[in-house]
Amino acid sequence: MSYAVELINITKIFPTPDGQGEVRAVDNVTLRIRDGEFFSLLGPSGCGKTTTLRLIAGFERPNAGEIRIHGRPMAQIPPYRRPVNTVFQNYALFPHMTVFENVAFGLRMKGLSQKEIRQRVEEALAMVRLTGMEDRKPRQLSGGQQQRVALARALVNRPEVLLLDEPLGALDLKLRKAMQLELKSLQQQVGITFIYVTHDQEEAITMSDRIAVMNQGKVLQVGTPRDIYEHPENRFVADFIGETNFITGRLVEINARVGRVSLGANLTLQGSLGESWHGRPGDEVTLAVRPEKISLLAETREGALPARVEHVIYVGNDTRYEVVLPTGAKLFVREQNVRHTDAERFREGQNVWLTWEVESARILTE
Amino acid sequence: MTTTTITASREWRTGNITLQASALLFGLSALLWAVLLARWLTFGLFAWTPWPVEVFLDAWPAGAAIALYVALLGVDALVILGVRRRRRWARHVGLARSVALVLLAVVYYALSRDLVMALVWLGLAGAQALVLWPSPPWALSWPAALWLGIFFMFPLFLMFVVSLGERSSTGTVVYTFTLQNYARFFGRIGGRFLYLLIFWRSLWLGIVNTALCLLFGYPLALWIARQPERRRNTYLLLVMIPFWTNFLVRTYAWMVILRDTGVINTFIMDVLAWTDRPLRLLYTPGAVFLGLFYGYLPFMVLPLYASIERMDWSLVEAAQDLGASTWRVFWEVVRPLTMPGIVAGSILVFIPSVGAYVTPDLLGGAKVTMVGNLLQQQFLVVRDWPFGSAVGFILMILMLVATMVYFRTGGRTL
Amino acid sequence: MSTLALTRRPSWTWAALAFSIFLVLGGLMGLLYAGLKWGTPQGMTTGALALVAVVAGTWQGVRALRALTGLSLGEQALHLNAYGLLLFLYVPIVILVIYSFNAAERGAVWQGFTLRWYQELFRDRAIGKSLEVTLWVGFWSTVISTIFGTLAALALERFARFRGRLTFDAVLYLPIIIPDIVMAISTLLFFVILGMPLSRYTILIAHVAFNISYVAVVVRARLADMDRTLEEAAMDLGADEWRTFRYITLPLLMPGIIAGALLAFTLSLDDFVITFFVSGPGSTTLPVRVYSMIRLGVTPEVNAISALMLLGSILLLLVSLALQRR
Repeated sequence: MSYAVELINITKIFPTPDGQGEVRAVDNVTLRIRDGEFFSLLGPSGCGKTTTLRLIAGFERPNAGEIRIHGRPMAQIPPYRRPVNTVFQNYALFPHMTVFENVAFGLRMKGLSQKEIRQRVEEALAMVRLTGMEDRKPRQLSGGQQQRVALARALVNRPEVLLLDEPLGALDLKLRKAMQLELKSLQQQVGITFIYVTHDQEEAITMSDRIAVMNQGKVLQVGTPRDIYEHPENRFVADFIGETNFITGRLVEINARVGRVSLGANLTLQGSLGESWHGRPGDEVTLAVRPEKISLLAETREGALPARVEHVIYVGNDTRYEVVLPTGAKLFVREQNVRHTDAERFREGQNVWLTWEVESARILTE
Repeated sequence: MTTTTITASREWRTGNITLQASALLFGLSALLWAVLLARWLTFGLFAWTPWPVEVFLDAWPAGAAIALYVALLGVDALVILGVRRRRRWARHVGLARSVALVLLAVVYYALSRDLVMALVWLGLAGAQALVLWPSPPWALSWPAALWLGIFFMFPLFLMFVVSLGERSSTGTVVYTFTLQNYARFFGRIGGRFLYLLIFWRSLWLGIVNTALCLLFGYPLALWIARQPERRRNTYLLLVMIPFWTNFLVRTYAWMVILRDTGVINTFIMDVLAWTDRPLRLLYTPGAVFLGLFYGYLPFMVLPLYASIERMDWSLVEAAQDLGASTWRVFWEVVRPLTMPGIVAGSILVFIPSVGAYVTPDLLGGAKVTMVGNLLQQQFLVVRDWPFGSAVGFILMILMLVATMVYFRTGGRTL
Repeated sequence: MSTLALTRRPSWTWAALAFSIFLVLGGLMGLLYAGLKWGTPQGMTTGALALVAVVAGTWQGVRALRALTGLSLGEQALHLNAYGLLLFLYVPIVILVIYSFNAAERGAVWQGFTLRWYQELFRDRAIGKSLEVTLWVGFWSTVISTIFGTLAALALERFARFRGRLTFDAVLYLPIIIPDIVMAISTLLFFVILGMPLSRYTILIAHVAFNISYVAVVVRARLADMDRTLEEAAMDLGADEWRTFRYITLPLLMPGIIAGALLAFTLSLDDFVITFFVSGPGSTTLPVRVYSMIRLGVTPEVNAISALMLLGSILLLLVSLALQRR
């Protein structure tokens, strides 16, 4: 397997603004990003994802660790000699240059001939459907157009890796959805490795081949969007991606990566154990179940949990139920409204039973 | 798995530009030495018109000039050689050499008064140091720092030293290191605190003028900021023109109006014929107040306008929406938000008002003496430089303290 | 008299406004007269009547204006203050310009239009010489201080911490904060103690010293507003430090540098106090020359040169604004 970008035990420390303390913006991060992959760094603001990107681009230097691009160490290489290009969050288009000059800038710096520059800029602008806009200044363009200029300006250099720092953040929702698809197809078309920073989980899940979830400078989980969603390995990932119910209890026994958890009040339930899970029976554990994975039953069944409906909230395509277990724990359940009577299946105050697949309940590492 | 710890070097440039530039600069100075050396050696062969540097060196043994040029040429050649091979020592040697050349230029100027050659040396040495200096920020700042250090900070220090001296009977300075000038300033002269009174008068004029400028200037700035955009720029221009106009000219304009045969008195005496004795308008404290207010009003309005214009007016609407009266909105919202403008404007008015020289001189005549006149008198008329320096030093300290206090209080209200 | 103000018809209200303006102006003239004839029965009577006229006229005027425009007393005061101050700023200048065309050799009585004073100016060799010195000092001090000030601004704005930064920052602000007279005497001391003869070079040195600070402040403000990511973007696209500066930083910074340079040039042309102290007998600048002319007495020639200097300032300001708008 060849890697486009490797980060090996990277740490980046910033001094706090008062100059007294320090912040570990990136804390001993190791990541290997494959060639041609659409890789997302996902996390809340301040989690270190942008710093990671800036480290790859060369705007920051790591305090420790090594960065390699296609196997070449980058420690002594300044940003202007790295085979990467960046699409900035606010696009960073040069306001004193036309669209053409903006896109041509990188090629001019490489010292290409006028003819070749013209040809490649035209190609790049055609690729992002901006032909005819060459002589405009950036401020004469709409947000979406500016975004595409920024993309063309980076891609025209044919970088080995394209870094994108929340490139869609400033666009409105509809345009953002359209651009997501466009970006994804563009990436497949040019075959360049994309490293995409976002705090929008939906965006990351829609576009990425793989996602790294980050928090407080650490990478918590790396995997395909499905992996991350279906099999979160810790509480932060489960909570950050989608909606999740957390149930705490005591692990009673482990049997072939399935754990039985006692909730007290004579209730037990089963959950699957993540690959990285370490622990033994008797530990306090947290179980995560997504609301749409839970089925509500009117009558009891083998292994089902008894509960009482507290609130029924109709939300159009779904109905949300808030149910309470005998232990007092509250859970959300989401049922799709397939038939028009579905929303009336359960009333507030009614006793119900809950059930789910063992695979859908994850026992998390704290 | 390897963990490499990268020591963050503060230096970014490893590029060729530094090397090429320093090779070029040292090449230039080597060329200069070569030319000077060649001229020196061939005076007997050609009829060179000697340069001041050569006239100067002629007073020394002939070998001294040759040794100097050859040494400089040798060092520069060494540096070029080292630089081309990317040797670290080349930078240190080069830096030492450029510092030496700076000193040489200063000493040479002090002895010979040949500004041109001194400047050439300074410029070359400076450019070389700029390229070789290990700290990028200082590589950028040293010309400004050096200039301000030599021609601004050092004179201030000199002023302090002189203020500790005494005036000799011929008007020169005797360095006795006494505090008697300060004692004289703070003491009684003929039973009155003469100098403290002058000082207090200046201070009082400054305070009143600042208050007046703020009182009238703030509404004007507010008014301009609330105009529609096109007209706003016109009005702003109208305030900027006096700001850019020579202060002397604007003060003089009041002399034309106020003097005994001026516009006002001509109108009263010749047109209305109400009196035959002119009104005494010029050379009065009132004229000085008027001149200071007129002179420094634009200095208050422009920074105020800048901060009012930058303010978010929706905050005013929000305050009104929450039931604040116009006055309350101004005091609770607008005033705190425009505090930077108030502080900047006040400082811009207060400091020159206190130190004013032109206005009291031209509009106040001999009647209204302020610190500025006192200083001018001590330096250019009485030639008591030590006492003048003491007054100047006290004035400077007071202004610095006032500025800092004002920034503090302004900062707290922000 | 209140019958006028009570009617709601606008034409009557206009008349009321006009009348009230008449009352106030007449009243002020009356007060002046009373002041001149203070103590005489004639003067005292006029004074009392004038006072009544001013108060009544103001009251009437405020009411009439409110009826016409709906402006409250406070807003009226705001407008009055603004127009009054703008008038106040321009009346002396305009009078000065007008009198530079007055044929009278002395006194303020208008005796016909003439260009004689301007002609005499152009024949004055000393003024030509001082203008040359002024422009020479202005030009070179602008060039030097713009370069040095811009470099200092770059260092202070681009490097958050380096040894001596705080001190340098403070020293850079000092020439703006301390009164120019203090700077003037200390610089004079420096030149005299070092034995440098006062010449145009000493003027230049002093001008550069204060101009560096102003340029640095102006350029720093522009730099602080500049988007750092633009420079990063340039590096990302393969431009090294020098080319980033050349193609991105410098063009974006240019308006600030130009503004700083023009400010420096203006300050240099306008400076009187410092120049007055450090200029030698053979090298005076225009303001110093004008000052010595004023000290000799108000003459039409001074009016003329003042008017020309005013024109120069306005032109410079317009050039500066035009360059910054570009």
